[in-house]
Amino acid sequence: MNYLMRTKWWKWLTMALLVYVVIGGFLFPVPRLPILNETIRVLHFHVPMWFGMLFLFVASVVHAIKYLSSGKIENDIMSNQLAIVGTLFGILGMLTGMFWATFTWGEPWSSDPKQNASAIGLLIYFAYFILRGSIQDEQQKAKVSAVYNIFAFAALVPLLFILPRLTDSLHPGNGGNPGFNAYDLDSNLRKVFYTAVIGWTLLGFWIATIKIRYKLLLEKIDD
Amino acid sequence: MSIIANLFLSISVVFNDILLQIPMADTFRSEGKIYVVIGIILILLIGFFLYLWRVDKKLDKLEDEIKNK
Repeated sequence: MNYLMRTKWWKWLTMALLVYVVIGGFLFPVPRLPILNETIRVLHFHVPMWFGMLFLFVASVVHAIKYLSSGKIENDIMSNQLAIVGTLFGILGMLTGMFWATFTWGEPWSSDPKQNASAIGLLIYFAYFILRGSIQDEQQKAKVSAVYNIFAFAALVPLLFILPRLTDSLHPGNGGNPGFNAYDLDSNLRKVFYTAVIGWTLLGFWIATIKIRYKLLLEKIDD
Repeated sequence: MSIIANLFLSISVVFNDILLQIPMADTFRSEGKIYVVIGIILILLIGFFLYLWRVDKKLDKLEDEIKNK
């Protein structure tokens, strides 16, 4: 995070990648699939939201652990802001997913195992913000929320990656399949999809660094 | 010779029909209007990027000011 806050080159990369994603995502040939039809292109916009969320949450946990070992308030600020942007990505992923599902699965919420699990995952993170808001003492707030953050992430991983695979799911790559890339992802989609994941994730980190720097400035003014 | 050519043609027509049974935005794409959509999304995307960049710059300035105090 410190490196991202010091350097600028990756912001240019973010912009270039996302411009490429929009052009490639709309123009490159895609596999002709029944039901999905042209909406397969949503792959480059909906799925990277979840990937972005995951990377932001990983960074959040790393800084939570850093806070617990160093006790520096900067790490708490970083951890918290990364979790906020991660949750924003999760909410956007949820909304885009529901919109997509309305036209492909027939309804916004099919109680698909992965839908339910990601909803629970987001609720766990909502509880993180409530927990933070309910503690007055700065030190205690930072410590308790750092511990909770680790718990939340530990709960999120099985919810998103293990439980939906144990049952049948409408999501590709779930319900006993080994992974989402084995059969489903065509090489034309891959060209854009991987870029999209990197691009959207970097955008999340960009927003997070801005929020972190703002909070750090507030902290400095308060002193 | 023409029989073989005809055979190839009809095969390709059938193949095309099978492909086209799955509806895609073929007409839309052939009219070229898809570029308008991409253009608009790019304008939005670049607009947001510029805005984000400006906020970034403002923070740079503010950080410098506070550091120099």
